[in-house]
Amino acid sequence: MADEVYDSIAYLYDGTLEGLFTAVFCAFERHEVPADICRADTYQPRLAQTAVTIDTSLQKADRVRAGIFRACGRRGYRRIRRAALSDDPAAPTAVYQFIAYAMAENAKRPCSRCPRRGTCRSAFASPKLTSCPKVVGRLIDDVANPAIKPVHKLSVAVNRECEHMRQFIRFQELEGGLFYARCNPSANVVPLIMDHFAERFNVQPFIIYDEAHSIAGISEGGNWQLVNTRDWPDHELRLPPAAADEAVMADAWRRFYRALSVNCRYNPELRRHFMPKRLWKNITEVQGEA
Amino acid sequence: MDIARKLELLADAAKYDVACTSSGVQRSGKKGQLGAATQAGCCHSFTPDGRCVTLLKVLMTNVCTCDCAYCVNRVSNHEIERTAFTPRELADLTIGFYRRNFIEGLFLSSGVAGSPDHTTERMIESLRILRHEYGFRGYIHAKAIPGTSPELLEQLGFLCDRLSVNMELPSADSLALLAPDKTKTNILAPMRQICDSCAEDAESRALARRTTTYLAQRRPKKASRAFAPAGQSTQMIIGASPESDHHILNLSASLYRSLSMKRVFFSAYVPVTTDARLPQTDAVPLNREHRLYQADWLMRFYEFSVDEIIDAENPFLDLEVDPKAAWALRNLDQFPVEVNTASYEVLLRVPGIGVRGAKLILRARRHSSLGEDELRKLGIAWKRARYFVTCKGAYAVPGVDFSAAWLRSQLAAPIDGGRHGRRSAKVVPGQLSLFDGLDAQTGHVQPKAPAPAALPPRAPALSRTSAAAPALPFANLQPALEALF
Repeated sequence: MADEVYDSIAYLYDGTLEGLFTAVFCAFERHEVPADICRADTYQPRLAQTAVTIDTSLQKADRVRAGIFRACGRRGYRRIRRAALSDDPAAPTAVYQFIAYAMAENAKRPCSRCPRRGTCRSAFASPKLTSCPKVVGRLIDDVANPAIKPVHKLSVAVNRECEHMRQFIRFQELEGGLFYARCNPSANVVPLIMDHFAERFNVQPFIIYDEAHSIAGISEGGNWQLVNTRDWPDHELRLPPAAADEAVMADAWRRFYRALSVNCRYNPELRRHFMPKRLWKNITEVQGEA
Repeated sequence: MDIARKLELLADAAKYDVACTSSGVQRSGKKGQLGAATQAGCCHSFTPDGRCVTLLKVLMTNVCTCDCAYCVNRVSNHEIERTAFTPRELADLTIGFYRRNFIEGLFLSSGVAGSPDHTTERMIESLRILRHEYGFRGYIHAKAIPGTSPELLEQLGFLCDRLSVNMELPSADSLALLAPDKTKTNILAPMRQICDSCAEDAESRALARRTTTYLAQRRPKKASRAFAPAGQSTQMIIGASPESDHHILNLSASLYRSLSMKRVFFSAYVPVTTDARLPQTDAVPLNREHRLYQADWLMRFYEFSVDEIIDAENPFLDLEVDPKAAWALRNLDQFPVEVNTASYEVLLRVPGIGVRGAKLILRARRHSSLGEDELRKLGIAWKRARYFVTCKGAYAVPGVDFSAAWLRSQLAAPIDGGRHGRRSAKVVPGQLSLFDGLDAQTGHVQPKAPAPAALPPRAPALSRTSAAAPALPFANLQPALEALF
């Protein structure tokens, strides 16, 4: 027992989704059970813990992704992806444990002795498809299960942050018709919200810059891509000045916002509940109040 | 007058309209056109009173020929500045805000300038510019003005996503007293027309979509715009007239049933004018509004009928416990229920278990049986639910006096929303100090000042729960109403 405690291993990865999947691959490949999987930049070593740095490999990550699709289904994969984009330091470990649990549960239910063998969907699909629909269902539904709950909670939290960004992203028009928004979400959600904005703002080129994660989503004509600005010299985008009528529009919006309030229903707690103060610095109408 | 000033005035005049939802219609984006709409809607901001700002909620004009006692725009109010948007100005402003992700669309209402038809024509022109010239695919909510001709209402319906007609007040008598220019019939007529047009439109669409094996497919080549695809809603003012909750809930139930309303909004009466016909009080009946919404939710999502929520003997909702808990206390013979076997409908009726919780329970119990820990993890309000459920056959709280009176004392909770600085009431005034009783010079502990022999009599503060309170505001309304009968 004591050996196990002092032999604990931590895998360090680069913070990307692919890096995390590579770490999961390595754990299975080397038959190791890492106690922690952490981002390399925020890692705090435990007592007598061995840290192993994992180099991201896209091929290995793709194999893990395919494996997750098999073992957890599409909804399971989406949940894992959301949880993995969370900023919570415990998120990568929770994701790894979820995947390990899913694989083990599938392995526990071999098709050979299954009473539903003749009728089960997975038996017909492909010889490679080794997942049990019962396990997939449980991974989605049984959220009180201690192996499933952490990932579920993280995924709900990231979903909520996505919704915050859909609500509170504020664009400003720059010279030349480019729209630009800064945001500081508490999870790396820009990849998850770009579809929403690219669809509705397909007539305007725009940039959503996440200053907390140094990542920018750039869209024009309904298509979008991500740019990592972490390695840029001054971590900043160089942008043209604001368009001529931008100040007028922002002012009109602020005055509209102030006019809407009914004073005798004043309830600042409720507003803070719906519109957390940590986001105010990038919300046009409340910028001054924060 | 510059556009920002106009916007300020017309938004200020529109803010007492409660409905600000952008839900009910799913419209994907289209290449080359601005905007999309999502089924659930999206709130883009929250005002200091905690209400959401989803749509650009403005009036076309605050000029009005009506003289409704409770309304800030009534013709006899000479204190406000009157102004109007041109249709083009409003459309440009909407597009400008939408492109910056400030809003989800437009909520267009108007005072009656000239005639209802003239006003509606200007609204239609504005929406036409938005939809047809700018190709705007965002959400539009329009208010239909009572007295508009059916042809214009038809046009308006095909341009917007949701139409609404204000019910204003919950009975014809109050309407006659407080809004003399409006009558029950000219409010209900456009509602009926909207309801019929929606149904007709849905039916013809269903026919057009039908695929048959023996006929050529009849799907129209070009998709035409639907008539108010997000349906209609209405709102009424609570507390300006003496109707009981029983009356109001029955009215809203019949509106849901017969006019297929999507929502009935309640607006706690906010005194904006001093009119002799109105209750002269500063207290806004926010708690009552809150309970009415809870009852409304029970009818729409929890499959309660209005008779189960409220009866004529107790015509006002209980302010101490929420309507669902009150129902459970009246029907204790149906409890406790076993969470691992109870049906969805039964679970929905357990206090502390909501729609989301009931669905999670159904999903989770397929894989394992649920106990207290699991229910807590699912996010059930265990504090309330524990009295009404058994887990794996065992009652969760031992030693409970399972009587209505005892359970009521456990479940009673004041509504702590809508009060100014809710948390401030819980904070000890002044900062706690270790050195309170210490004399600064000597360092000796001083004996505490003796408590005053008798507390001074408290000023008779306006109590929200006092039984006499509802009668007071209507003191000057009652004789007027009696004179009418």
